[in-house]
Amino acid sequence: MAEAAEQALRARVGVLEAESAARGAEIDRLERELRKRDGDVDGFMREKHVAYVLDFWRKEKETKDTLEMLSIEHIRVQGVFWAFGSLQILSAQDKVNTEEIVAWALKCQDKTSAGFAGNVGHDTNVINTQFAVYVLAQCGALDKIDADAVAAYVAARQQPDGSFADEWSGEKDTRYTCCALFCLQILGRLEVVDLAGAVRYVLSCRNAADGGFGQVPHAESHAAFTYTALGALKVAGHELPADEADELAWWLAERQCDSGGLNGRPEKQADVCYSFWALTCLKMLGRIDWIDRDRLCKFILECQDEDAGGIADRPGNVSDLFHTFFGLCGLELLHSIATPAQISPVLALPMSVLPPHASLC
Amino acid sequence: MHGRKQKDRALAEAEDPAKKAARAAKYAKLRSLLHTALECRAAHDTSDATMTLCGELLCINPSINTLWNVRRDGLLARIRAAGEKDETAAQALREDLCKQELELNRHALVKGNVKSHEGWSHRAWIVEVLGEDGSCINVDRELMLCDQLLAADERNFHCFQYRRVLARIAKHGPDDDLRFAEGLVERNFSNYSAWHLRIKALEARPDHLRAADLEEEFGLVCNALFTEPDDSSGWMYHRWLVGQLQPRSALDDEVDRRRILQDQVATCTELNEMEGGESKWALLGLCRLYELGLRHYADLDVLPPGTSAGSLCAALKSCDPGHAVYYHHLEAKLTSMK
Repeated sequence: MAEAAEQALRARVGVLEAESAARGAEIDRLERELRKRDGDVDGFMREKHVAYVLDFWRKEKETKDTLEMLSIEHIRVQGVFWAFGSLQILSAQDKVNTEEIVAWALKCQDKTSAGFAGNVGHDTNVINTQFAVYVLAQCGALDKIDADAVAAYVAARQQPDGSFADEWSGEKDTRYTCCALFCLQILGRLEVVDLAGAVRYVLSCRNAADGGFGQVPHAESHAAFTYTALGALKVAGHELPADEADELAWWLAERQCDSGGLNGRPEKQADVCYSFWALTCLKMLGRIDWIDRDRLCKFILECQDEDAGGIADRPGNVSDLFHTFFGLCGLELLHSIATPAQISPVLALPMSVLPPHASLC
Repeated sequence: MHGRKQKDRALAEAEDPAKKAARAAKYAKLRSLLHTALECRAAHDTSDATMTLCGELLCINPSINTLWNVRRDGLLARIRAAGEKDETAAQALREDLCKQELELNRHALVKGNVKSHEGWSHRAWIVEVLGEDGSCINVDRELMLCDQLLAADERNFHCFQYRRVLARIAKHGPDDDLRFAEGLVERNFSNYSAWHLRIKALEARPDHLRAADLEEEFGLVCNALFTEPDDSSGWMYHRWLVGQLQPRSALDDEVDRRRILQDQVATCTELNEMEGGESKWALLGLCRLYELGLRHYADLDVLPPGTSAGSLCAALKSCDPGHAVYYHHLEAKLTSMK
């Protein structure tokens, strides 16, 4: 009897949760509609951001070196992902030549292993392979690679404990797992790896004390690694139990600082990049309203670089592509800017570029 | 590119042309050196000159993993070559190379970027692979370096992770971690990384979580909470400790656990009153204690007279309106549990 009652209760909770998810999706759609009608939130410097991002390619052409260009030279594939992704959110992606991007990205592939490097002449790893596949997806050029070969490269990086590792240093953490699964998700090849093992590894990085995830087992919870962990779990089809999801969502909501911005760990300063990582985790958990959205939006706007365009880590600092992309993603998730590019909260790619088999929430 | 100030950019732009040209020349030089190093990588060249070039570039940017890969290959090749002639000499060389590589890597981290993933993962590689799981390394020296770097940045999670590798090799037990965490907490209560370490050490020692131990832990953290009632670090630890108050049949100390639960309700109530009834963290602490009571000590009246889930959550909404939706959810949860 008690068992039947419990089952009935669980079924009821399931129905209510499904209803609430459907309502959330409808609110999402309506807010987007309203935003399209109203235009960008006041103070958003759309044109300056477009000019700043386009500068990335102009400076390269004119070989105008800057500290930023040099510091991301070895992970240019990530730089291109941030830059092109920013333009997609700003509806200005037609201002760059995708043929050139695709031709260059293909040159980053190692012909033997089929893995990708961060730039031509560098060594491959799973992280840059994921970003190269992302860039090709952004440009609608996934048909230019042999998906089976790339998937085999990724699968070969999986370790006996279910994690994925760098083939040179042996380093393994939730980032490698996340990048491996995201890459396979885009390629439609999740079945080539041991998903249960990957999930087991990710869960071993969870901290029962606060519900968050660290980079490796026993490491302190961190909002960025929590994103990699939660994203990997989503792709693997693993849902956290309701009480664990609640605990995590509370910890994520506590990342909001007095400034309105989100930080990555307790008692650290806010940084724009968590406006995507922590916020999108709340979105994945269906709890985006557990923070004050208006104050977060205000913080991201305050981080805009009025002179150069782009978005910085915090107010008064110099902008860069990384924070520009994650700041724009944050504003998109908050429905603060008018954009046709709805960003997947899990994969951080516009829904429109995802192959049908890859779309997630 | 974290932390560059706009005013510094303005200053750089106002610099005289000669300085600007010098900077541009430096960047161009770096780009061309990187290009040379990559050509060496393509040619599998791990000569002394190439190793030096990669080392110099890594001291500017320790995140260029390909350059660490050159050095990894070069170091292993040298030991292999020596081993073909003389095993003893090869072992001596291995120890030597470990020492030198640790020094170069320290330099790269400290001068280049002390938060570089690739830099730190190379350091772990030196210890675990090149140093044959620490047998060719002075682990105490490395532990001391961690102390130094954590003194400069007590939240550097890369350093904590590296230290965990060392602790495994040095066969540190939970008690060593407890002592280490206690030292860090004593230096600064507001160091959640240290509280986290303490949680992990105690989780590895469930026999340390008897009522008497918990009482001692509450004493330690309450000391921090009375000093800094707004600091979330200690409160996160407190939150975890409250969870440990659930009954454990094997320990036969339920009476003491109930008493501690009520003591903590009194402590949080006092802290909240000290802050004019608006201490977010003390209120959250009371909610947590109440939840634990409902779950495990249903016969106990945990909350003081006149206090309820509704009144606690109303106070929370008023002092922390940004999280109002969560407090609404919390109130519904607590009410439904009752």
